[in-house]
Amino acid sequence: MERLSKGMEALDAVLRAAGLTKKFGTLCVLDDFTLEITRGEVVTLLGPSGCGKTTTLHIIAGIESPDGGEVYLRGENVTRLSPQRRRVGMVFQRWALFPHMTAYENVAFGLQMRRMKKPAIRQQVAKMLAVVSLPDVAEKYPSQLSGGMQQRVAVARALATDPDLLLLDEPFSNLDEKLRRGMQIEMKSIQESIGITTLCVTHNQEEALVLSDRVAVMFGGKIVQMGKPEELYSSPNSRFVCGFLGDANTFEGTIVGTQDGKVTVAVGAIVLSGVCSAEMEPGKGVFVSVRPERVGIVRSLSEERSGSVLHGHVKEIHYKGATTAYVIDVQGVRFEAVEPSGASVRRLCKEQKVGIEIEASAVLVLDTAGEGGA
Amino acid sequence: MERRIPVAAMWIRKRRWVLMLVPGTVLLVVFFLLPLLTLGRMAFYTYDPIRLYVPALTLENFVKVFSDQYYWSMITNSLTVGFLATLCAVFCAFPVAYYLTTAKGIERTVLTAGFLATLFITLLVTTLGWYIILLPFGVIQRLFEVLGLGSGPLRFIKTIPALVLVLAHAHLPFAVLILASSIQAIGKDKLQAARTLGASPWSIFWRITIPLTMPGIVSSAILVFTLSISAYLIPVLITGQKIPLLPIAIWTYSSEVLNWPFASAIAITLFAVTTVFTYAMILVSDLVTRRGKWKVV
Repeated sequence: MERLSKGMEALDAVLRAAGLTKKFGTLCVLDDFTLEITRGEVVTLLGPSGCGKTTTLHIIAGIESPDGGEVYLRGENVTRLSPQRRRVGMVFQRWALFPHMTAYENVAFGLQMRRMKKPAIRQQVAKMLAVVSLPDVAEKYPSQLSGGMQQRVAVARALATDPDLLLLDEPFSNLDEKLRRGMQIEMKSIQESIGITTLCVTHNQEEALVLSDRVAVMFGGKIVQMGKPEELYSSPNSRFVCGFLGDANTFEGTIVGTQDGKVTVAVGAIVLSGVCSAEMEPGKGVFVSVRPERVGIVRSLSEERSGSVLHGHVKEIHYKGATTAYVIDVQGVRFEAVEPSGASVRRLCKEQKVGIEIEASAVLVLDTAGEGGA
Repeated sequence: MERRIPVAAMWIRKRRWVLMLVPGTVLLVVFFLLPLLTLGRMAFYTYDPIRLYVPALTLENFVKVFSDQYYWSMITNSLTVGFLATLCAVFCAFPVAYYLTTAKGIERTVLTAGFLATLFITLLVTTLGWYIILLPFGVIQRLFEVLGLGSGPLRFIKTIPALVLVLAHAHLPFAVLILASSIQAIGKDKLQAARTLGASPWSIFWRITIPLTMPGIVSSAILVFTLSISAYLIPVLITGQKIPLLPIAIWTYSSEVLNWPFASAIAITLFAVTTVFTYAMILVSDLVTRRGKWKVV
């Protein structure tokens, strides 16, 4: 049985971290952390700084050793193996290029360490520089390259030795906004073309959503929730995940009634109907979240369609270019609603009377107990 | 109400920062450059037993220095001692500096303070300490006898190895502190990156650590070399007149023989030798590490 499960693992699990624990003094950085990544998958650890995500990466790379738990790469226990022998490629936060070596020498470094023959090295370096679309900078030193180019060299260097697993430690945090988006998309296409299994660490939620097949939201040394990006965004299991991924209108509320999977919640003076996964009894204090883009604005109040429209007025207008955010006061409860700022919709003005309409599926009702933080 | 500022006043205003260079410049000109020029001129004068020196423009002092086997051996002695002391100090300082950068908190403070403290003790005291250790029938000899490595008076004290040892020890703290700051600047992530790329500790040391700390190695080497080659007190106490060295000869000719022109010629020789050697060191290390082509990122 033991043998069989090990064989299965070797087939598709590239990485398995089991019960990793790490303490720095009295501070528990990682607490029984478990994660499995299958071949070709891109998984992102997302969390605020200090949540233990970089430590996880370092433990997997072998730079740090865990106080407890095991790391398996391709089914082999590597917990006590040196980083040199793990066949893991890593892109560091500040890229950590060797400044005294040219781009070519940086990429060739890992191959030279593996005692590869010179012609083979030349071929592989040329191939890697082409993959990251930097064929013409081989003789340039890192200081002569732009941030984006340095980043690509770092990626090429990490991939050159054909590792089993690619680790990315906040790889885009050193780039400016525009370049970052371009690099994220490019990184994704590089990843897809090579098909390398990737574990990325970031505190940037957009980055996590763009890059990954699965996202693991971390807090306090643990994975709070893990799933596909759209799953996490649409049905977070806690207030922390909800607040960390994207914007949300969040309220404290009380359950007033339940009826076959649907609940009605009192928030201040208004009542919303929503969905909740767990069984909840009336009178229970809950946490309510509505994404701003799910708050529909009803402009003409005369043609009232149903009782679900709440009446209020516009308090604030925030023009953001592509979108416009409106803060709408409904009997003392503030809702933020986002609309595209196209010419097709009439812009609202301050103090204008409007209605808002929220589908029950957009209203998430979460238990306030047992939360990580927030 | 706009007040027009004359062009000349503007020019001065924009360069007011130059004023801050004045104290340093004055100090250097008065106490370094002028004496050096005087020394340079004096080297071309001739010696006179009654008037001490006679203004002239002759190369006879230099001819005397470079034609005499004795002075050649003095130059080679000084160079050998300086070079070996530098090698010894940098070699010993590197691991210590490396350890210092990995130390944290109180350990680091104590270590750094310890190194600085040795600089507070006057050179005379440390050198006399060494003197007692190296003396015939001193600590080292006793140790040799106990270990059965030899008996009878040890003649270690008046030799070049003993001098190199003491010079290296005296200048070690400078090397450690300079090297520590340049090792610190490498950045842990570069070493970690090298590890994930499969580099052994040995390769990391030679291919990453050494090239990236080369500026620190060179500046600590220059410092130790110039301090060692121009040291006077330590050679006088450790080797005395037994090993002829340039600084001792300068002192002898200027203060005992009172032949200032010849003392100046030796001083200029020492100055030239040090300069040439130092620049040669920089040149070689720059070539080896391709310095100037790359910058730290």
